[in-house]
Amino acid sequence: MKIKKLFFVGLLLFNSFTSNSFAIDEKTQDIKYIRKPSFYDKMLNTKKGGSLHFPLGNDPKVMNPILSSDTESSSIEQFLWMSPFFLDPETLDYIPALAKSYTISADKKNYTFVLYEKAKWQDGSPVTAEDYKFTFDTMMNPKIHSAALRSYYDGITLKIDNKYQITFTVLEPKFDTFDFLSRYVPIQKKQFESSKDFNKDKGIMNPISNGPYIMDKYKRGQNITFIRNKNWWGYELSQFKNRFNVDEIILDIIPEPNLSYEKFVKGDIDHMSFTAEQWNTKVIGIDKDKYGSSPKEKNIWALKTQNKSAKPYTYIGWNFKNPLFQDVKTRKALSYLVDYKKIIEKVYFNLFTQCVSPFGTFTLNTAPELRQKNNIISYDRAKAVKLLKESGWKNDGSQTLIKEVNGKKIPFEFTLETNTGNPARMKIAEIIKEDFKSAGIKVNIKTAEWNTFLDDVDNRRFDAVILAWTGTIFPNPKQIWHSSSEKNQGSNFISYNNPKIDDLIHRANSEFDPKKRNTIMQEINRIIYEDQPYTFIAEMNYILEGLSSKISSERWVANYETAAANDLFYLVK
Amino acid sequence: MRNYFIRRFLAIIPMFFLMTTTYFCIQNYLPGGPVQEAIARLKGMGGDGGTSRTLNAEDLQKLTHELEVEYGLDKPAVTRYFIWLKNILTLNFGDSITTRSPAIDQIIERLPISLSFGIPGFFLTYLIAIPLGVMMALRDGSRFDAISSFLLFVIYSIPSIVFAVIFLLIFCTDRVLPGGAWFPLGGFRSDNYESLSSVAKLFDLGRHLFLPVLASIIGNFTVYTLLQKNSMLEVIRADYIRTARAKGLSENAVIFKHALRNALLPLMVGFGALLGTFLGGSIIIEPIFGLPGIGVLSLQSLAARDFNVIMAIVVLQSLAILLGQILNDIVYVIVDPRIEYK
Repeated sequence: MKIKKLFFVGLLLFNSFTSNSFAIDEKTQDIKYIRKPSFYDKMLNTKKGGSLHFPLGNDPKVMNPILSSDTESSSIEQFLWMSPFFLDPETLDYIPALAKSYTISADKKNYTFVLYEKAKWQDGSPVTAEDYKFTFDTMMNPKIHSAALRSYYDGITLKIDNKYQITFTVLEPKFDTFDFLSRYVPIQKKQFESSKDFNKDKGIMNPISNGPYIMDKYKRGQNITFIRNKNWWGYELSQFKNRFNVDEIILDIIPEPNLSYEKFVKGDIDHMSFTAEQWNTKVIGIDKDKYGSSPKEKNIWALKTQNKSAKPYTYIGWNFKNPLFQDVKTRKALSYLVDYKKIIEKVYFNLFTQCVSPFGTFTLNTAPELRQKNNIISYDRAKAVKLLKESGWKNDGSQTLIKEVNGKKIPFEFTLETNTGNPARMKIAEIIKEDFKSAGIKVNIKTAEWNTFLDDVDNRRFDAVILAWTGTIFPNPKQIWHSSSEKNQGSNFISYNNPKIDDLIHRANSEFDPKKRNTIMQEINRIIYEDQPYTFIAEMNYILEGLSSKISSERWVANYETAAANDLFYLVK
Repeated sequence: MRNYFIRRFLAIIPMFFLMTTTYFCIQNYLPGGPVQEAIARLKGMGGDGGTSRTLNAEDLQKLTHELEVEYGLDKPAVTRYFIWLKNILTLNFGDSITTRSPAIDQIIERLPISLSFGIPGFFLTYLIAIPLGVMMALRDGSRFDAISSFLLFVIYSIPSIVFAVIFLLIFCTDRVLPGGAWFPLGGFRSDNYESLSSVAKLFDLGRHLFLPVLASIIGNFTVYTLLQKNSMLEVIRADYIRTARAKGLSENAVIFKHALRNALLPLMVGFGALLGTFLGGSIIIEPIFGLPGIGVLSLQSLAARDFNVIMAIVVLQSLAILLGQILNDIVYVIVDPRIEYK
């Protein structure tokens, strides 16, 4: 489990590459950043001190941002390093961190960042353009184990303008280029420049940070201690002055989620994210008396707040290579046979909502009319039977429907596959099997261990799968829905191919105006929902968090994406 | 006898190769692997969080190849096996895919944790099983024997995982006991361990390891106690014990000098095998109590298909089991001088 990020929920304005805080130069048409006060500049002045324990599911593989590819390694980055800008999860405004300003050229090919001259590494030396260049060159070196990150930077170059200014040049700018460049994390050149083998350098586990915390101790399998850098350069800036208040942050490595829960209740750890089941059976069930509803009542309290950003969504993917699922009427019929209400009640304890979009049901990328209950697909057996008839399925008196395809009679029977270790998906499969059976469709359930399951999906050896995709703030529909994403074991593993969608994806990804992009994304959503290549099942409706009463904040935002979470906490006790 | 042991030692070589080759083959034919898993994570597949960026199909081929090179999986399996074999002869176990550090380092790091509850568990098993078994045999048919036999069967029939969870919930949380928890909730050491005095350190370790040790020995000690009892019963009914008594030896001399020595033999059967389990840690107890030992490492490495770490664990365990069997033979000779190997 990764350390979940807690933020403040508000209206999410989906800006695609930059916030409202910019101006367009009349002469050059360049986009220039304008600093406007943010929430962070107005945060209450709070006492610094104390110590907090957070759970971490596993040891981080590395403590180095360019080698990191696992969730644990990225979880610890937020304590150690800064990027040029960070994102306010509520307003989606970019807030200066290592850089004080940016300029984007009119053709969106050059992205210039001016660094704060006061920004320092923990050893007191300044963070300069040289550090950026060194980091970039190291990452792009094919010998360095940074393949995971490198693949995103193809066609990008970095040049030093002066000691405190860098410019990224991009061959093919996309809607999200600024976003990922603004979050590029440098490492210190001095620490690694004489390294013989960067991949195995001792510095990888002994990071020199430029963020508010310093890695103090790491006991593998046990815990990692970060201590606050009291002389941190950022405290001179208004956006950081009242943040990062905790003196010591200890990440306890606890692989067993039930042990994490018990440790939280006992007070050994100060924060955890609950699953829907934990919430239902424990937080509002057997342990109800232990929780307060606000920080002041008891030692621990539970926070339930509506989800307004893109969260992981669960779906059934129909393999288009299988003749059973090639007809849209059949796919629609199957979607009408799914009892969403029952699934949301029995599997997700009414803490999830029916999903209607791959881009976050609660976001502006989802067609507004699909947010209304009467426009979406709900369990309707009669309608399903009608659609199946229209699509040529016949009842020949046996238990299973029959259809003639290319002169051959085929029964409506398929295997629904999912991974073990995910009880929710297994329960969904059972519910579907029962409901489909009543309509003459035979479902065989297959479960496989994660790696085996991935192998089946990657090699397209499946009929239908129950799976989930992670939600993102700036979704790029190309990865999953474009016809070109079928090749090379790409994410379009159901082999969905719709030229209209391909065209819209191309338009969406080269559209830099957030509002116009939203409109295109909504159109993509509409067509996909009409096509039902996936039967969209459910998405988290609430953020469910457990917090120690030591932790408080003025507003809460829960978000998987940006990593500002824990620094927003400040101590009240 | 010397020849016998030389032969036994030499037999380790083919056995060892058979074991590791089989394992290497099984591993390579398992579907999926670290590259596939890493890519799935980058894609955001599974919905457990992941990257905020997009991984397009155009980039996948290059990425797959680069990751294969990073993980050392770019060569055919046979070539990799021979490289692995060559390395193993120089005691190089390769690097872990997950931590990028030498696989053996991970094992060395975690071995003390597994051993620190494995060794006390091993001795406690025998320390409880032998006297209890002997006492039950000597008082065969008494109320003490009946009650303890009944309790042993009850304990035996409950899996150790259940004991572990029950212990954790009762003694480590504030849920059941009125005064709150007696023991820390999981973990190997307290946060302030480094600053403690050596006595306090020992006490701290004891507090953390008491319940894991208890939960881990329960299965073995019940079996061994009953085994000891039955074996003792058989021996004290033997003719030579009657003779010893007839010679006028004291009861203590009869039981401890003559009977016990022979009655210990069946218990020694498990001795060698236990050595292997030591090194393997416990895949049941360790995760429940949050002990980062070899058991947890095995589970994590298997799930992540971390070949080198799994192979290193397999090698060490195979060696331990094979050596344990030889050790068994030696112990036999010590306990029973009548045994002679040819």
